[in-house]
Amino acid sequence: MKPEERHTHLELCIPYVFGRLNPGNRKQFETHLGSGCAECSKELAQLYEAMALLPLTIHQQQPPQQLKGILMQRIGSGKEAPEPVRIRTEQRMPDAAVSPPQRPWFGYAIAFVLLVIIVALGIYVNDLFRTVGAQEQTIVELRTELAHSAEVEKILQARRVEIVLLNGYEPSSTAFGRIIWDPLTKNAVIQVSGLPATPDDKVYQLWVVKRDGPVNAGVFTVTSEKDRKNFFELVSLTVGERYEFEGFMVTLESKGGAAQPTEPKYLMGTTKAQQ
Amino acid sequence: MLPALLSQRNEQNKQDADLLKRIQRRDQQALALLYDRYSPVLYPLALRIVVSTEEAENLVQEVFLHVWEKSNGYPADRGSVYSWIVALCRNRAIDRLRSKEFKKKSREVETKEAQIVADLSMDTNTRAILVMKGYAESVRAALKNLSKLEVKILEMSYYEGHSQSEIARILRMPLGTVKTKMRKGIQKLRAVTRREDEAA
Repeated sequence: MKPEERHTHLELCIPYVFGRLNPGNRKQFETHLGSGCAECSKELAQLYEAMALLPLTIHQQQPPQQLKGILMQRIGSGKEAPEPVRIRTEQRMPDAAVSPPQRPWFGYAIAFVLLVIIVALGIYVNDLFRTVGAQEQTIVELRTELAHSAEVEKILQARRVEIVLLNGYEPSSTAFGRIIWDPLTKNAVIQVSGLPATPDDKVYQLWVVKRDGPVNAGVFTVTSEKDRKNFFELVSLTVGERYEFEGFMVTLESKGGAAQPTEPKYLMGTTKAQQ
Repeated sequence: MLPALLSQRNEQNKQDADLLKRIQRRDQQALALLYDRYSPVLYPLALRIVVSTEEAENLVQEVFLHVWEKSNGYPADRGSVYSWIVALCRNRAIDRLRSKEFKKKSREVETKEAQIVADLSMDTNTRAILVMKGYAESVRAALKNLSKLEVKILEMSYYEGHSQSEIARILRMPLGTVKTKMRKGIQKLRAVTRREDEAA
């Protein structure tokens, strides 16, 4: 090696010690050191010794006591290339030395997503049950209506059908209706239109007017707008014989019905007029 | 006083070399002794560079774990065990500093240092630690020969990882002046170690 070349390498010792050589120069310098240059090695050793004096100008301070325990625990565990333990963030617990990196937010996020899915599924299933329940209710109503229609059709198809018109009186003067009945079977249909909606604590009551007074023939309620326009109800007129019937009337009574009709009469019609 | 301390220091270097041989034989007690001797130097060194107690603690752990795992890699021809360990700590801390860009914070450390009170516990390694402490005081006295500018340039390079050209730019002075001052400062530091060699 030429003297000037050795000098060049010696110039690199200071930046090498300070870690300021670029990768190319560092590699070249380390190759040179690897070749066994005693002069550069000695220079480096002296520089390292000199620079190691600088930390002595700082006042000495012991690290936290737990640090040594953690270090010795790590060494005692015999693991290869152990990771340093962050005692500050881990609350200086020695057990943290063997803990893998924690990512609690990840678990919480999964739990949260699962919770959201479960809640959404629950709501969906609940809605599904409600829909099914509502549809079952509709089916029941349609079957009832169909049964009604079949009964009405049966009455209308009877050989002898009698119809009694019902007229509206105050306070429902615009209301009207009719009783269609088969005197043989005593099955009847009451059809009304324009009656006010039944108050919650009331019912409409149908009376058969006989010579010795009115007789209860059943109660019904008009609730929906559809019912107000056109209401059908099947009734059984088994309270007497045809010749005893002088007419029909509808009154508004307390829930459960009354023993005797009270004023006012909402609808009324006579059989005599029809005969 | 210094020659006596230097002599003790040289004796300590031999003990360190013995400790390292024991560490190579997986003697945990040897590492514990080495830790007791030098962690009070490495911890404030790391703290001075990274300005974070958490990072400094991690760095001290990393250095001693490295010593434990890679003790066979100690280059005996490049200085004492102590200078090797200090270089490990300093270089790792500078790497950390560059990766996290703590350069601005490093200036605040001096304030923290003023609050630091050395608290050395009396244990089996106490004598070695006290020698180190006394040696440090002597080194501090010896370094008074350095001018403020020489100290400043060395500190910027050593603790903050600045290159000579960066220092020239920061201090607004010619690069040649920085190089000269740094070289003179290093020579004065080396004079201390030369007396160490003579005492040995």
